[in-house]
Amino acid sequence: MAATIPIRKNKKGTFLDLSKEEIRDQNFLSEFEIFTKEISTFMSGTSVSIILPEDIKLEDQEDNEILKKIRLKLNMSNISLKNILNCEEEIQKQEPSSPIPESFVETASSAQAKESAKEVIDTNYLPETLYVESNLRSGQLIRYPGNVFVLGDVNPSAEIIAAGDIVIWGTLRGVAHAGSDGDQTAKIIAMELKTGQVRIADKIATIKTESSKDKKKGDSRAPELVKIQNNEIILTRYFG
Amino acid sequence: MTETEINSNSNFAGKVIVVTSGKGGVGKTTTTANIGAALAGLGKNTCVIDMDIGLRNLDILMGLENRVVYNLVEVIEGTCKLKQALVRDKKFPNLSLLPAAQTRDKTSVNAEQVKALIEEVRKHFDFVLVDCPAGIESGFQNSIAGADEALVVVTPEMSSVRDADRIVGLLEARRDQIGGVHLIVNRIKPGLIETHQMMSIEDIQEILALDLIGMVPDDEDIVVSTNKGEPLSITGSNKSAGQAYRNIARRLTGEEVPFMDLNKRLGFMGRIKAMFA
Repeated sequence: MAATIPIRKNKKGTFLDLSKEEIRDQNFLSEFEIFTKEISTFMSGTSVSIILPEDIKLEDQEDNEILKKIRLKLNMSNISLKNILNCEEEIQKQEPSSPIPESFVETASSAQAKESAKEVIDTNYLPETLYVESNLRSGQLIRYPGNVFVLGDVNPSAEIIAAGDIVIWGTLRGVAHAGSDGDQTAKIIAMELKTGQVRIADKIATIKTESSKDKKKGDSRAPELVKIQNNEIILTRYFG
Repeated sequence: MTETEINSNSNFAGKVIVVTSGKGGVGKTTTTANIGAALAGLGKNTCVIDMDIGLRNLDILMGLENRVVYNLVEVIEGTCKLKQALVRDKKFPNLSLLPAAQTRDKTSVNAEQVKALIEEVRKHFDFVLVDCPAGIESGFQNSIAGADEALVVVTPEMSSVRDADRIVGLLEARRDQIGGVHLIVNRIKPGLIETHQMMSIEDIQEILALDLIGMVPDDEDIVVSTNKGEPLSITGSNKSAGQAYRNIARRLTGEEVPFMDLNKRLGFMGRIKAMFA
């Protein structure tokens, strides 16, 4: 299913891994179109590279047509195609593993953990902050090599993994991991914090969430701030 | 008996609504059967399609299991014509069921085929309700292939709400095709909500933020009607889950219907109890 195309983010940029897809299959393009629409909620305006199955030859007329269509579908969702790679090139780019302990990422998503080990560094062409203007619903994942700003809520079991800071103009109920490359100064700011767990760099903290019973209506305190202080994750208020 | 006369006016293009939830066991099939019957009761030409291929249930809830001859997969494969496979309801001649195949599985059809089938079905009906299987795999993708709108069914439980949230994310990715996503909260127990032991509608909406189209109280009579094969929306009293389904059907036809006051069901003693709980 095209809806499950792996998105890899490393410092060379964002990659759509089509190497396992049957891209010559007649259904592929329509599924790919649905996929691009889905990712456009958070990838609109960015550029991606695609990784092709080994047997696709750019010289081949028919394969080339498919590629043109892939590019078109991406462009329709306001995503530009930066580069086209085949499997071998991708594998050669392996890099030292990220500073996050494998076991930790493993619990978050074992598939992604293996990907993150392959990451390479060069964020020059990506904007420093990814601006997401929508709610993130369950199952949606944002991985970004910079900061992430969300204008909306992050719902339970949605995930944001950012190398920089995470700012949420809404309620955080899902998973947020700031400083995912090991930056201990990264922070998470949310208007409201209702998640059970936050992660900064290689640290994890569990948070006791207030049940809806204790929640005071119209409670307009300052936004919540999560950061590392004295080697420990602390939860405090953000006063600018 | 099994051949249904279908409306021959082919310029007609009914509304296709998929009933989905993500999580299993929250009442998708019950909702489909009840809203289908209620729409037929309002005089609408209605077809309910069971897309749960391999785990067919909708025919039982509608009391039509003995009349099933052909099924959806056979229509798609060309073994029979659409009109041969449609099973007409006992009570309402304007209500038809397109049953799922029980001896096949979800991979026996693909989204393109389902879309083509639904385009054909909608020519003959005002409303086409598609009963979607649980999950987000091919069965779900097939079910939403031809839909114009979606009814998302949740029960007041965190697990149900989270799965529904995932579904809504997938539906929103196709917002150019699926115009409206509406929320039905099923199996509400007002007593438990008042004592904060169950998620309230507000708690659910805080996460899902959808257009609420129905609140259905938990009702023992649903179990009875399910086993009898007689949707409660035909027989139920005006305080029952059946009434809630009838209201949803009216809202689907564009009518403005106020929501039932579920607390009244609690009765005087119930409310006293809730106060002290």
